[in-house]
Amino acid sequence: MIPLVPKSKSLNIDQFFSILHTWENYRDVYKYSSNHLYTKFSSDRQFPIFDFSESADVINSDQSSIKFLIELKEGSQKIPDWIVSVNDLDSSVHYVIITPDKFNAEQLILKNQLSEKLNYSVVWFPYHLYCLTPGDFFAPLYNFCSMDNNKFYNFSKEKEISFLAMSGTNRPERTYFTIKLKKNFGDCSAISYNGQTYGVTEIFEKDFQFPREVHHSSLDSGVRTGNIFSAGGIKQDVGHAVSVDLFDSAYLQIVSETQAGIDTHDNFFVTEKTTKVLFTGMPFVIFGARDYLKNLRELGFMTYESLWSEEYDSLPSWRQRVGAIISLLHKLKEFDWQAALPTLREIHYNNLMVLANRNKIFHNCLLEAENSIAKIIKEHG
Amino acid sequence: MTHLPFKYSSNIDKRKHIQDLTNAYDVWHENSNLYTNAHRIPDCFLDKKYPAYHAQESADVINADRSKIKFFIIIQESLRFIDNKKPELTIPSLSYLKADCTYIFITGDNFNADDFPIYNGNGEKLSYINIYFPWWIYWLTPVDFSDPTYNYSLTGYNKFYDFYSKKTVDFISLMGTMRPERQYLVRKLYPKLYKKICAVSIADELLGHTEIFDHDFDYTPQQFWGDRSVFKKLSVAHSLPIDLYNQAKLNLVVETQIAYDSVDNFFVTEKTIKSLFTGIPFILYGAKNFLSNLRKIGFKTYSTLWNEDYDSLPTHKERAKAIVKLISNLENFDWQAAIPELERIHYHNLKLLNNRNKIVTPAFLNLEHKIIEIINQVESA
Repeated sequence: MIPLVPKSKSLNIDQFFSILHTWENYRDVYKYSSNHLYTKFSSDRQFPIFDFSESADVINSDQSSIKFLIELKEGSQKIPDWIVSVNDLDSSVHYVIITPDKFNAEQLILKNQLSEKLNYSVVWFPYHLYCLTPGDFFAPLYNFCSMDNNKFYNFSKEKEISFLAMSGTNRPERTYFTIKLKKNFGDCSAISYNGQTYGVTEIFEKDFQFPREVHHSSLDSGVRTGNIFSAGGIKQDVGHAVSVDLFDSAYLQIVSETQAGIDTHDNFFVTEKTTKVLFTGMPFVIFGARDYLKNLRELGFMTYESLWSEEYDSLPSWRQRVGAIISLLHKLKEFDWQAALPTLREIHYNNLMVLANRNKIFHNCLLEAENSIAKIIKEHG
Repeated sequence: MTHLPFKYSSNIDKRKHIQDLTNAYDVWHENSNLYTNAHRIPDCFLDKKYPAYHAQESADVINADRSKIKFFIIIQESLRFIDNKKPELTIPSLSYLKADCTYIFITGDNFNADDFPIYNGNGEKLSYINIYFPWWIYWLTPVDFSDPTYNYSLTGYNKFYDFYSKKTVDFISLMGTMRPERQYLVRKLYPKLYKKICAVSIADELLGHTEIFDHDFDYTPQQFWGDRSVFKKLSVAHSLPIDLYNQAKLNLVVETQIAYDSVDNFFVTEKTIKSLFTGIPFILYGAKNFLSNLRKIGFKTYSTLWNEDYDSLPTHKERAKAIVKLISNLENFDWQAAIPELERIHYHNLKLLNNRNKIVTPAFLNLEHKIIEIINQVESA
């Protein structure tokens, strides 16, 4: 049992403990599951865990030498903002941040308002991978399973456009990327960004099945406000559904991941933008942080390196990655999608199995979390 | 917000299945109107409440209620559960029920009540209707780390069949309780058991190439699941013994309900779902037209690779004989050459299992429609 005591009442903490306890309860169900694989924690040592939004007063009032902070849905880009109390945190303790972003604490220095460096470690917990292919009719985070619509990309259907790009909130790197996309591929792409549509906008006006604008208090864990665009007089919440009818209109999806613009530190933060294309099978190019595709492949997913160059993935700055993606897309305008069908299906088949087998990812992740926490306790406790 | 028109009349410890069904319905109904151009599902049942009983409820409790309509929620069971001739399985209270109302059974079996009359102990025919709800298809393939009934998702396991690894036996068959129709099949399999080209477990007995059961496979221990019939104190039924599957070229699935040759019926259980999900090729000893019914739902079986005519034979003895003959024919089958097609079949079935909202949505609509129809009929009579 990981020795944590919740000190905030929050959904992040509830969800984390729910997953953790189920895993701990059932991991020894199998006959030959080896107990010795698991870290043994002392039952008389307990450390506080706070929600990311907890006040510094509450966090500082605890006298523990190690304090855990948790946020399951945001990546390291938001850390200086989302730890509301970061400015006031006491630098004499060691913090452990449980986050869905795999990044190195040494590369992201956090300081309080006294300019004291905060000592912290990172425990990776890829919540989006865990929650994003829910069982049908369980209250869905992203409604992948609602209604009777098909959830899978139709490779054989005739395509109206080459590329589909949908991104939400306004960010500098996305604005830059969108301008490039509009300029180069406005005639063969449908683009939505920050509530506006560009290129072959008629695509968005079709009677596809989108979720209504709803605030899923009963379905979702958080407050949802980001409608991607408005079409046909209805605000559409594409971000929170698999709009596979829309996907079917294009050969390729250009995914702009949340942390594409971070070049200052290595990071890997998978969101629904990526899991949707992995799950549906729609071919994709991802504008993400450096080595994003490489990290996906390390988890077992297949990307498209056997069909086209994915060298853009390893370029160090986001402007370089945008440039390389634009060059690649020019080549892909002429790509023989028909000839690639067997490989595209093979990639989807593999990725669907990895998603259905994601207990393996989580199992390894939780084992690693246990080991990291044990090590941190030994060093700082 | 509408709910199924039930009032919980069973004792609190017997309500689980009723609650499972109503909870599933509530989530489905709530989500069903989420999409912009979705078929709008009207609220129904708003004011009506009828008693709903668990199958094990006592007749005294059931008879004490004066409603014209009474529900039995038997979603995990089938025709055999209401067969008065099989007292070990039958709902105990059936013999004591009054014939003064209409009973609505909601079962996992699509049989027609007219084909299977039920009488109480006074020889009075009970008025009942069966509504089919494919609970097993809805329920199996659970999300990772959710409280598992069949542990598909636990620990770090791979869940998928390996088409490429070397196989020890031609086929494997894992059966539970001894039943005459199973015994009949096993007798027909004796020559193959002697030749040790297969491994069979039935009611704690291991037959054929029994050495493969001695390997260090990871099974769920029996004690975790209670007094299930298993071999070697291990519950194969309640886990996904993928390492064991990987020893065989084929899984001979012996379904739960095989021997009702005079009544059309179709009751899918975890036995079938496990093969569909993992991808292990299978021959299925089930009710007549079981494979045909699976295909109607959308699953693919193996008719492109071998003859599946056995499925349509009218008696279970004929089906058993045809299956044994087919297994003999498959002794020289080129499994290597068939891998691309086997993978295509698995890919298709895996997608459908992830799309099973397409199966369950019509089932919920049918459930609503039938309940309304029956209520209207009975109330207006």
